[in-house]
Formats: sequence, C-alpha cells, structure tokens
Amino acid sequence: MHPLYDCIVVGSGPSGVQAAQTLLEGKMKVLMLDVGIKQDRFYQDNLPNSSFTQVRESDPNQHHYFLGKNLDSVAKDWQNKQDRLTPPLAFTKELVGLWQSKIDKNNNQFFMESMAKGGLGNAWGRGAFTFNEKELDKVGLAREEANRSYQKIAQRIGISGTRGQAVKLDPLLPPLFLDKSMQYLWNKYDQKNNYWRRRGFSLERTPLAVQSIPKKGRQDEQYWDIDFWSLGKSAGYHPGHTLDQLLLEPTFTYLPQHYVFKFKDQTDGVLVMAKHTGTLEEKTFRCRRLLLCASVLGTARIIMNSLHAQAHKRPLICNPFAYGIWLNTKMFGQQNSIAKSSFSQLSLFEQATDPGSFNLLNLYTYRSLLLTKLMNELPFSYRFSYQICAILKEMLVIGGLHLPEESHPTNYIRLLPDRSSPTGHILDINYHHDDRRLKKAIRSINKPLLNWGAIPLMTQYTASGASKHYAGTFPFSTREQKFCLSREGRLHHTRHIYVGDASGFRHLPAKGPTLTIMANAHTIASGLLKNFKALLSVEDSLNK
Amino acid sequence: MFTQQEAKVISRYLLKVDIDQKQVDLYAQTIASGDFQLSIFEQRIFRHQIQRPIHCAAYDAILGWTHPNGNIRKRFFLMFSILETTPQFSDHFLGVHNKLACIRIGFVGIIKYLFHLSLGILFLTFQFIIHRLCTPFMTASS
Repeated sequence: MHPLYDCIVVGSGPSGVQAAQTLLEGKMKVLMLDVGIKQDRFYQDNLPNSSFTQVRESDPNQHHYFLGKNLDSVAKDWQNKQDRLTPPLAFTKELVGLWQSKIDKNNNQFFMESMAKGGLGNAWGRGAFTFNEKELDKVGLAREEANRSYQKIAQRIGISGTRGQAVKLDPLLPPLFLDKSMQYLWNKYDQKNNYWRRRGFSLERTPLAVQSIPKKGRQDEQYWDIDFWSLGKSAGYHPGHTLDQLLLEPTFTYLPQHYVFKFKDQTDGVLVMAKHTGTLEEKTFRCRRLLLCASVLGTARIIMNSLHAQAHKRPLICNPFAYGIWLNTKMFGQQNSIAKSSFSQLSLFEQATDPGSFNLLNLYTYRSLLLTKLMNELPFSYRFSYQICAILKEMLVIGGLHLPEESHPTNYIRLLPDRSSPTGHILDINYHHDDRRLKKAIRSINKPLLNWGAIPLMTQYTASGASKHYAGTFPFSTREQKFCLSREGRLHHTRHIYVGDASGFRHLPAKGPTLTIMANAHTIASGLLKNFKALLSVEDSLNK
Repeated sequence: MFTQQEAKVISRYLLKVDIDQKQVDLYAQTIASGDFQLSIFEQRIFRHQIQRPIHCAAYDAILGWTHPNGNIRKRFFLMFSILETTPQFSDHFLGVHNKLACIRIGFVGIIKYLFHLSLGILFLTFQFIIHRLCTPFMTASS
C-alpha cells in the first residue's frame, strides 16, 4: 500500500497538468497517475533545428521525420485521412488499441484517445478560444469563475491574439504575423467588415497558445513552418511544458506506466486501482480526493467500471467536423511568405441559427503538409496530380469547420465486458452526426470566401469523432443525481471523486474547447483546495 | 532486380529525374518490409508499366479511378514521397512558376491527362479480358 496522498490526479493532458499545478500552489501532496508514453527518442534526436524550407533543401535524412521511421506513414498508414498526426506525433495514439478497445460496427467512427504524456494535448492545434456568456451558460459553467480561470490559464501558458469574438482576455500577447495569402483574405474582409458583420460573418485572428514574444524560458515563434513536426522545439504550448515544471516541486509525484481502471470511494478517502502497463501488476493507491482528468472517454471508462454501470448508456457530445481546401486566386503565380507559422491564422465565424452560437472555420496555409499528402486526395494520375499541386500549392488554403453540438439521445456510449481486453471491458460508442448540417454550413461560409477570391476546391466530411472534441458523459447538474457532476466537479453520489475534464460540459460550442477545459480544471482544483483546507482546519480543531 | 528497375522507371515517370542508389535502396527496403503485395491482375498491369514505361501514364490515369487504394498506386505514392523528401529534388516541390508557366503547364497537363485516361481505359479493358480468359488455364495448371 502506498502513502496517503492529498489528491491523485489521473492523466497528464491539458486538464490534468493545470489542475495539478493549482493543487500544488495550494501546497497539497499530489500524485499523478498516467500511462505517459513518451515521444520516441528517435524523433527527439532527429528533429531539425531549422526552418521547413532549409530542411527540405539540405537535409538528406528528412524522410525520417516527414515520412516516419521506416517510412511508416506510407507503408502502414497511407490511406489514413482522419487523425492527420505527423509521424513525430504518432506516439499520441500509441498502445490505445490494446488497452482501450472500442466497438466500431460500421468502421465509420474515429474517436481518438491517448495514453501519451500530455494526452490529447499533443494533437491540439493550439487554438485558445474563450466561450462567451451564452456559451458558458449552455455548457453549464459559472460565468465569473470561468472568466477568472481563463485569465489564470492565459497567464500560465501565454495566449497570442486580439480581443474579439474568439477570445475575450486582457492582456494578450501580440498576434502572430499573417503570411501573404492570409493577408490578402484579411484585407478583403477588412475593406467591408461592417457589411460582413451585418450578414453574420466575422473574420478574426485565431487566438493561439503560442508565444509570440519570448517569455518564461519558452522560445518565441520562429516562423519556421515546422510546428506540427517538432513538438519540443515549437513555441506552441503543450502540457509537457507544465509537467516538466511540476516535476521540480517536492510535493509532486509523477508515476508513468500506470493505467487507472477503478476506484473505491470510502468514508475517509479513496482507493485507486491501477495496472502497470509493463508488468500488468495491479497496485492500489490511497488518497483523500481523486481528480479524474483522463479525457472524456478515459474518465467514462474508469467511472462506469468503478460504479458497476456496465451496459448503462451515457450521453456523448462531439463537434461535427469537416475540412476543405480553397484556392486563393490572389496567390496565382506568386510565392507565399517563406517565414510563416503552421498554426491556424484566421478564424471565420458565422452566426448560427441559435443566438449567441457560431459555426467556426479555422484557416491555414499548410505548405508543410507536403504535396504527397494532398496528392492522395486526388483521383488523377500521380504525374498529373503533381503538376496540379505544383501550380496550386501557393494558393492552397486549408479550412477546418466545426459546428456547435448538443446532446442527442441516440448518441451514447456504454461499457461492455470483454475478456480479451487487459481491462476486462470494451467501449461501445454509438454516434451519428448528420452531414447535411455541415454541407449547409459549408455552402453558407463559401459566400464570403468566394467574395474574397477563395474558390472551394474540395470538402472532406470526416467520420464521427474526428474533431477530437468530446464532452457530456457526466453532465453538470444542480440536483444530486447519479452519473452527473456538481458545479464543483464532484461526481454526485460519491464523496471524494471529482472530474476535471470536459465530461461535465452539457454543450460543445464550435470553438475549440481546450482552453475552457484547462480553465474548468483550474476552477475545480481551486474549489477542491478550499474544501480541503476547510477539512484540515476541522481536523486540527478536533485534534486540539 | 525488378524492384531497382521499377524504382527508376517510376521516378522517371513522376518527375523525369534519375535517382541515386540511396533512393532505390530506400524504396526497395520499404517495399520489402511493408504490405505492397500485388494481386495477379495487378502484377500483370504493373509488369506492363515497368517493361513499357510509355504505358505508365495511361495505367496510372485509369487506376486513379478504378483502383485508387490498390497497391500499384501505393508503390507510386511511396516513390513520390521519397522524391519529395530528397534535397536534390526539392526545387520540383518548393519552386514557384510564374502565371504564364502555370497556365501552360495546366493546359498541357489536362490535355495529356485526358489522352492518357482514354488510353488507360482501352489498356485496362484489354488487360481485364486477357486476365479473365487466362485465369481458368492458370488455375488448372496450378
């Protein structure tokens, strides 16, 4: 039996590390349990320290990270059009199939989970949006607390952008530079911005968890256009940055290779059961409070297994997602800026039918995607596809469209027994989203884009779950009801179990939820801290 | 030996370039270690493409529609990926054409592609008929 910890945090993703930091600032003794698969040393050692174009022009071994060790992205993964993880980031989904099995009856779902150090935060596009008041109400978060927490997280991680629909924070770091192609779109919008706003469209700089100026030992954006290939050398924030700081704290313990599968809520604390992923040995840990930050699907597995709720249906929310390619006609025969960032540069908001709700298209110029990947989307001969791509590459604008989503009774998950799984269960996900909503939104969003000279080339409607934004399995509820969370994040009908990820969100706005998830984790950890300090003072007075 | 020949033929078809032994080895190693097996019908087509490089474009044009996920396309895709990540060919991928060159390449490219596609339909139909006719004999002899 291990020593008694004040709090055990499960998971090292964006919510886990932020909650742990808040708890440590309150002097709590924290244990973080995590599977914690690390990025392959091969990629860490081989990652280039120069810009995308320099690497392409001079490095004879570039295929190692652009195509993967042993050219895996071609040999094994060449038709994968869902996750879009570059080979150096493929560790994000390593081992998941073995430990976290899922049923996919029609092979048309793409729900991503992660057992990596940093969790799904490794696959995050660094979009750092704040929800507006109506969105916070629908999600079930208290406005004032959420705004305070946004501010706190922004101070910790650094957010660049300009105040507007996308982000309402002060102060922000200066926004990143726009490249030539995006500058054209921005200028066209800016000439008639009042007109477009009246029509329900607004174009803004994408707020990013990226350092636009050097700060706190993290380097600023170098505009090397290699951000999605080079995790450690990018100016973009990822949970590993916070985890590295936490490891210096004397009251913090990080135990990787531990897969948490069950807890027991007792009068005086919690027992947490985990399996060592190497030896499969089962271990039990004790703590006063348990904070689950294992991402929505991971947390659902642990709670349903612990509360013997197998076969019990829990709702699931996921943003419908499509991506498309547009041709910026202004860039015909011109070269785009060499120095550029790979992250989303502009965000196009479209007022949805529901007031205060938006559809969101994030725009990128993605040179570092490599023509190889684009060629795979075209049905022509490779020679002809190459010629087309070579002509059009400077004109390509990639857009990712997210729609807001509510809970629907037909979309649910349940845990079923499965003897072949090391955890003894399998997750059955039943999810369907209607592509007609996406098609309608694409048609509508094409109007301003066409006006600004961007011609739609193709749209890919992705499988359910491909947005990687999940929520709603244990929704917030003010009434004490089973499988729901209190505003403080406590799982109703338990004493010491808290949930710090997006499981409680009752709604998912189109804006990426990562910043809100981190802010919510901070709010819950702060509440837990207050509650815990009150408990300690009661214990002290009883002892006296 | 055949893999070496196919690497050279495919690279010449894709970019009109001659590759070094390093790229040939990389191609051969990946083919040997991954799932690039061809069906009997695909082997017949692929042999034609490699032995008569002039037919490469026609088969490639039609396979993009009929067998987009087939292993012949995968082999071409592999070679294309290797070429794109080879510094000596980076100009082919990073260079920018002026407007006139873009129009010329685009126009000529479309005409050539349509011509190759029509040829590809004829070639593939012919190969399919031959394959169907030969299959009973091949099954009997095996």
